[in-house]
Order: sequence, then structure tokens, then C-alpha cells
Amino acid sequence: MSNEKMEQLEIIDKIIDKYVGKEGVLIQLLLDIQREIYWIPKEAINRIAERLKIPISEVYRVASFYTALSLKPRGKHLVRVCAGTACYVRGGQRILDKAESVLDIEVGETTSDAKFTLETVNCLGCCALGPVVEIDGKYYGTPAPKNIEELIERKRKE
Amino acid sequence: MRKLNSPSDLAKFRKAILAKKDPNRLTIAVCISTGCDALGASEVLEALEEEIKKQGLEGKVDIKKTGCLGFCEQGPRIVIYPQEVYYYKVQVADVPQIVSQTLIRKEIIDHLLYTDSRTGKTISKLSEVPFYKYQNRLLLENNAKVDPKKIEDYIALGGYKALAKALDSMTSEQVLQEVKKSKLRGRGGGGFPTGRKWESTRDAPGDPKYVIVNCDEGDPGAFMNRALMEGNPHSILEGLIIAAYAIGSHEGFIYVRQEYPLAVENMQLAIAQAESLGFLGKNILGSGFNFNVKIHRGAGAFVSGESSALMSAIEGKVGEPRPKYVHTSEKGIWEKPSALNNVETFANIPYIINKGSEWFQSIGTENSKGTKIFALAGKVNNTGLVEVPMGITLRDIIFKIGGGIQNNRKFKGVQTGGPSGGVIPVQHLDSPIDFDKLTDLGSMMGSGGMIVMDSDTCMVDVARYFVNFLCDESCGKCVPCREGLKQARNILNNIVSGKGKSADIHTLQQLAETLSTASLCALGQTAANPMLTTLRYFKDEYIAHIEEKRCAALVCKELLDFYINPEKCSGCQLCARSCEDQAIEGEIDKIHVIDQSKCTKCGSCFDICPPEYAAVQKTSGEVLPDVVPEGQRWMKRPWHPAEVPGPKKAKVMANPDVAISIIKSASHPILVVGSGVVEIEWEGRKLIEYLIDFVCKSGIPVVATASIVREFIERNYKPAASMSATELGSRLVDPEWKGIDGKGQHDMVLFIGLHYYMGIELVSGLKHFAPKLMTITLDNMYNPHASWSFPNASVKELINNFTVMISKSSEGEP
Repeated sequence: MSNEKMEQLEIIDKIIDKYVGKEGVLIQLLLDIQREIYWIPKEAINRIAERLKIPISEVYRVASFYTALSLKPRGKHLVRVCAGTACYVRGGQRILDKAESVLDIEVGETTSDAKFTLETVNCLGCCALGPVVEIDGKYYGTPAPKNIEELIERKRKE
Repeated sequence: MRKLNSPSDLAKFRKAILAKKDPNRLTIAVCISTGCDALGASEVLEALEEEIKKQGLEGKVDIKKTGCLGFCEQGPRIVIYPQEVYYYKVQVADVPQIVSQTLIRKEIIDHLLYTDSRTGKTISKLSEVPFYKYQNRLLLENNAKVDPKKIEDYIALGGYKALAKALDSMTSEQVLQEVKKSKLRGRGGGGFPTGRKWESTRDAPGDPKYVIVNCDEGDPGAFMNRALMEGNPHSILEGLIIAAYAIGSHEGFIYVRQEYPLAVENMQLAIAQAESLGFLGKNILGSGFNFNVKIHRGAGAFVSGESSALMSAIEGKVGEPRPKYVHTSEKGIWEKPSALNNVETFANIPYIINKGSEWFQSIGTENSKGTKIFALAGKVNNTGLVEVPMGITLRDIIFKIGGGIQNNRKFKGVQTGGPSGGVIPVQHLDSPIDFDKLTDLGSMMGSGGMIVMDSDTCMVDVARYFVNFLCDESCGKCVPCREGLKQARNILNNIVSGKGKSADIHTLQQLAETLSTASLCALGQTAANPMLTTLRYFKDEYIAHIEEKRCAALVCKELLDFYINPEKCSGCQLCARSCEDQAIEGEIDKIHVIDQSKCTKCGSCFDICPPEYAAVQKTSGEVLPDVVPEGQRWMKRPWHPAEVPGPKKAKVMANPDVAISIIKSASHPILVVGSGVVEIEWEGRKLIEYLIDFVCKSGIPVVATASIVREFIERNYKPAASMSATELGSRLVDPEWKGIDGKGQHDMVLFIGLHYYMGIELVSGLKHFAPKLMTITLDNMYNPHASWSFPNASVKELINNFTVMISKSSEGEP
């Protein structure tokens, strides 16, 4: 096992430590892992099943059901375009089209240099500012498609 | 913090807080909720803190970080107390001036004030802004007054008093009866009577019992729960503890979607503070009542907002609904009785306990009491959170509070109730809205999302959008929802891409019926609403898509066509360069043509064509005009307009009286009219109609440019001449020109409605090359190159100018 993987498992184990012996914790545990390492690797699912004594199938079922949990590795920067109704009627789709063409990937994919992942989110609750884009946890009220290009380029240079 | 052991401890604690507060103390409240923060509120806050230090005000001013005030588009926003000065769209660069001018010298900075678009007047007080003035802010009121991270702020405003009252002087039965009598109905969407829900949980056998706050605000377009949870978390917590007392529950959950990180953070802090003061935990306020609460983060699934699904999620399982023949109030989390209510429902509880059910009943309609928060969004001028009494009309919300439709477009419909709600068309604008009325109209209250749609919104596309959303969010457990939505999505996708068949409407209706009768949970049962209401109110749009392959709103990409109007094309190459598919042929000064076989209908040419040319046309379902043959595409140009600044600047005509006396001084004037006069409308009349009144009365001959001549003729007025603005410019500088009537060169030219860009160039040219000619611009935008110009003004002022000029032109016209 590579060093990186070992480190990852350590992090996962530490998170599981907080929840062992408690009831109804699976989603919270998975969310914590998602927040730390940005996705849910196969090893994490196996480890949770083993330590919480629940079937692998059940862990997998929960991990695959919720949109906040990703079973694929995500890029360094997460670009989420709001696809909520208010953003949609104000041109959210065009922001998304632009993001797809700037990043040269489709929604749900990660760029080949592992720098960006592009996703949609159903509503960020900033409906009055639509269309809204969230990049690495920061929200941008983005009025025009060309702004998203600038935002992405700025992140690329970081 | 010291634990409070009795209601009198709380009263003393409150007194001590108030004693330390000076109501006249200079305080700046900065909204740092998610919306304002997205517009840069944190940066403004930082700059304020620094500047206050720099200008020596440290310790003399309080900075309050508040939650959402609901008028999010106006952010970042600050309110300065005690004067309640309201500044909006504040930028970091404004901060030094705010500190030196408003904080130190108590002067108001005009350009940061809100301007009422209807009256053109600035407003300095927050409560006077029309968006707020016509609301009835009960639950949201305190968002402007409390720092959500400080429990003292909430207590200072009387917080936890209702809890103390309930625990001290009411039995749990009395609390329950009070809520029942208030006729409060659940704000999460179903509208089930809250008191009855609590009663059935209390009466159900089984222990422990649970109470749950539902903040899984998955309805796209609704964000009132976020605002309450972020901005005033203690009000929800207080409502929850009271509910627990009424039901006899000792354990509660607050379910918050993970997309709301700030709400989670503030609620976590609120719980910790409430625990340390003794509002949570053992023996609350000395009453012997125990209650604990935990936060559970949702992981992003719309269906998990459904009560039984949410409870499965709290158990750590997949959030799927289960059949409702067993009520969750009897068998919910871990098969125990569980009462689940929405954030907004809980926020109402402290008010009902404090002020009594009779007071609460006095607000609202017969069967829907209290206020409701709506999230107003979409194509409306003022977007944000609107709290109004039940029974208000849609017109009041959209036009009085919302300030009407953006860009003066036509209202088409309003979508209420989230994805499973419906679209309400214009004929029901005056319906008083409450739970039952919205259901009658085919929509629903839902959580209170309200998305305004204008003539640019395609209703078939809207239905497709919602069905697509619901299809993705369907958990897949029951067949009607899983398969039915998938089929509906396929059909709608076919219709919007021009592959619709005549039988589709009937099939959609059948699918909708099956969905609503046979689905397991509310998601599937209501999933048909978007289709049913659009079919009910906008069937003609479906038919146009299917039979004529035409999308009147020009939204459905595959039904669109783009072409370039050869008469308007300026040969500037902008569109050709923006086209990623090389579908546009053209060179500088040559008419551009779109090769339809290469066009992917991306619309980038349409977006980039400057509005003064507007040569790229978007159509749907129409036969395209023939293209200009290759040999005839080169343009002949008399001269290229250019703007030369020079040392002279237009004098301002401060009012229409000045204008009329200047106009009367001319001996041989003309009025040049551009297409802008049909774009401006006031009280149902277009500017061109006011203009015709003016020229009829004053007798000034009209030169119509471009296509505007047709508009005049349609209105039974024949202009003296018609020519392009550039050509007219060339003639006016020619001393030999005999004028439009052959009586010699003109001495005065009035302009109106030329595109600003064009007007500037043209009048600039006249200033330099026709020095004897007097030029006057009558638009509501200052034109620096004219001899005289009106200043920048609102449409109302522009119309007023004309009304006065019309009334004064009768005596002794030129």
C-alpha cells in the first residue's frame, strides 16, 4: 500500500473512532470523511463496515444514495453551479454550459490534471442572487457567463 | 455563563443585559449571511473594523454581525443605528467615507441610499424601503436586530420568555391546547395543523418520544429556513423546547442540509449557549423538565425532506419514504412516536405562547392563520424574503413588494410551492393566497418558494425542468414515481427538441393521473403538478411546440433559428469572431451571413451583437428570409461616425419649461426620432405616443430614422422625412443642403430615441462640423455633446417633461 493510501486510512480510522458504538451515525460519518478527503474511497467503505459491524452493502447503499457523497475522487477545486429553479430561470444553464466548455469536461467529471471537478447542486439558498456558483465553499453571485471563466482562470493560477 | 434556575433568574439576567445596553449607542449592523457574503460582505466588515480603528472610533461604535435581512440582491448591506440609516451595495472603497461622514459627522451619503425606482426618490430609513414597508415582518423582524452568535441579543429582545412562561405557568396540556387553538398549520408544505400533530404524538403509546426540526430545505428557490436558522437560531430552539414540553419528549433532532454550513455552525453554537444557560439539559429553568437536542446534517437528497424519509436518514439509513398508513407521529424514528415540523413552524411557537392564540388568529384567513415567509425570486425587480399575512394577493407580493417584473416585461406566471408546485397564470393575480386557495389553483403552498416568470420563460421547458429535477430526486422505491417520471421526462424532452407527437399531451395527462394516485409519498403524488398546471393554463404552448415546432418564448434551443438582418448588420465582425463553429461568413464592412448547416444554435452571436445594431435575430418556427447573394454584401458608407470630445459640454435644461422656451427660439427646427421611443412605456402608453402629441401641437417636422417610420404610420402620423441618422448627419454639416422641406439649412435639431452610442457620435460630429446648428437632446440620458440636454432622469421624469412640453407648446409655436 502506498504511503498516501496509508495516510488516508489513518484519517478514516480517526473519524470512525468518534462514532464506534453509537447508533444511526453512518451518514454523519460519511460526511466527515467526505469533508476530510473529498471522496469516499472503497477502502473507507470496507473499513466502516468492518469496524461498525454493518454489511458493506448497507454502507455502499447510503454512500451511493446521497449527492453530497462522491464515490469518485474529486479535483483540487470543486466548482458547483446551482441548478435550482431561481438560478435556472435567470440563465443558470448558460453558466453551466460555459463552465463545461472552459473546463472541457461534463458535469460530474474531473479534469485530467485533477485540478477541477464540476458539479451541479440543487439549491444553495441564495436564490435572490441567481445564477449562483460555488467554488471551494465560497459563493459567487454571478451575473454573466464570462465571469465564470474569469473565476475559473483565477483558481487555475492559484 | 451561569446556569439560570428559574424564570426570575431569566428576568434578572435580561435586566442585567439591558442595563448594559445603551439604545442610543452608535451601532453598525452588517448582514453577513450567505447571500450578502457571496457579494463581499466579509470584506466590507473587515474594512469597517480597520477603518474604525484608523479613524479613532475604537470602543465608541459597536459592530453587529447580523443574519439575513431578506433583500439579498442589494448586498452587502449595512444599517447604522440609532438613526436606522440604510446603505446598500456597499463596497470596500465606500468604507472610509462611511466612517468619516456618517459615523463621525452624522451626515448621510446620498449615493449609498436606496432609490425607489417608481418615485425616483432616495430613502434613508430601512423600514421606509417599499420592499419592507408593505411586509408584516414577525418572524424575520429580529434578524436585523440580533447577532445570531450571541444569546444575550436574543434574550434582550425577550427571548426564552415564552419558554419560561410555558414551563412556569402552564401545564403541558395548556401549551398544546394553545397551539391547537391558534390554528397554526405546518409551514413545510403539507399545512397539517401543528397542534393536532403534537397531540397524536403525545397520545401515541411508546417511549421515548422525539421532536424534530426539519431544515432540509431542498425546494430549490426557497431559503427562508436558511435565513431563520442562520439569523435567529434561538427562536427555533425555543419553539422546539416548548414543543417538547407539550408533547412530553426529552430528545430532539435538528436536521439541517449540509449545503447550509453557516446554519449548522450557528445552530451548534446556539445549542451550546442554551445548554450553558440551562435552557437545555436537565431541570430546565428549575421546572424539572429535561430536554436534549442533537444536530443531524443531511447529505443532499431532496426526498429526505419528506417526514418518514428524514426520520430514516436520522437513523443513519438511506433517506427513503415509507408508506403512510402508519403515521410517523405514532411510529417515527426507531419506531417511536415522533413529531416533525418545519423551521418556520417552530419559529411561530414562542409568539403564540407569549401573545396568545387569539392574537395569532387575528392574522390571516379563515383556515390559514399567521404570516408566511415567501422566497420571491426569478424575473422580478426586488428578490428576497417576503413575510406577509396569509390572504394577501399575488399582485401585492409581486408588484407592490417585488416592484414588478424586470425590464418592464410582461408577467406570465408565478411558480409556487417548489418543484412539485404549479405555475399560476396572470388571471389569478388577484387571488388571496393561503394553503387552500393555492391548492384550488392546482399549485400548493409548499415551503413558500415563489418564482416569477415573464414572457421570456417557456412553460413547456419549465415543466421539463421540474420533471427532470424530480426524476433525478426520485428514490426509486415505488414504480409510478420511478418509471412514470422517467417516461414523462422522455416525452417532455421530445417536445422541447421538436420531436413531439400529437398524442403526447394525452399521454402526459394519463401519466400525471397515475403519479398522483398511485405514488407512495408526497414527492410522487405531487410530482404531476408542474405538468398539470402548465397543461391547464398554457396548453397552447405545448401545441405550438408539437404542431408548429415553435417556442414563442425563444428558449427551447432546438426549435430556434438565428439569422442576420442584412439591413441592420454593421459589418463589425464581432459575431463572426465569437462563433465557435465558424458558421458565420463576413468581413469588415460586409454583410454577415450565418451558414445554417453549421450553426449549433449556441446563441453567442445573438449575445454579442451590440444592441445599437441588434442585427442578429432569434426566431422560432418561422421561415427564414433569403440571404443576400455574395456579390451584393459589401456596404457603402458615407462616413464613419466618431466621437471627438473637444472643450464644449452641453448645458443642462433643468426642467421642461427651459426646454420649451429654447425650442420656441428656433426658426427652422426638426425633430430626429430613433427607435428608442417604442422601447419606453409609461402607464400603458409608449413614448412615441407622447411624442406624436408633442409634434402635433408644436408643429415641428419629424425625421424618422430606421424602422421607426412604420411605428409612426401605424399611429396615423406621417413623418416629414425618413433617413438614416448617419445620412442626416452628413446633410446637416453641408451648408448647401436645403433642409427636409427645401427651405434651407435648419437652425435647430432636436433628438430623441437614438441609441446612446449613436447619439453621442452623431451630436459630437455636429458640434464640431456644424457650429451654427443648435442641437438639443430630449432623452433621459445626458448627452455631453449637444448644445442643450436634459439631465439623467427616470422614465417618469422623462414623461413628465413631455407632458409639460405638450401643454406649453400651444402658444406661438415656431
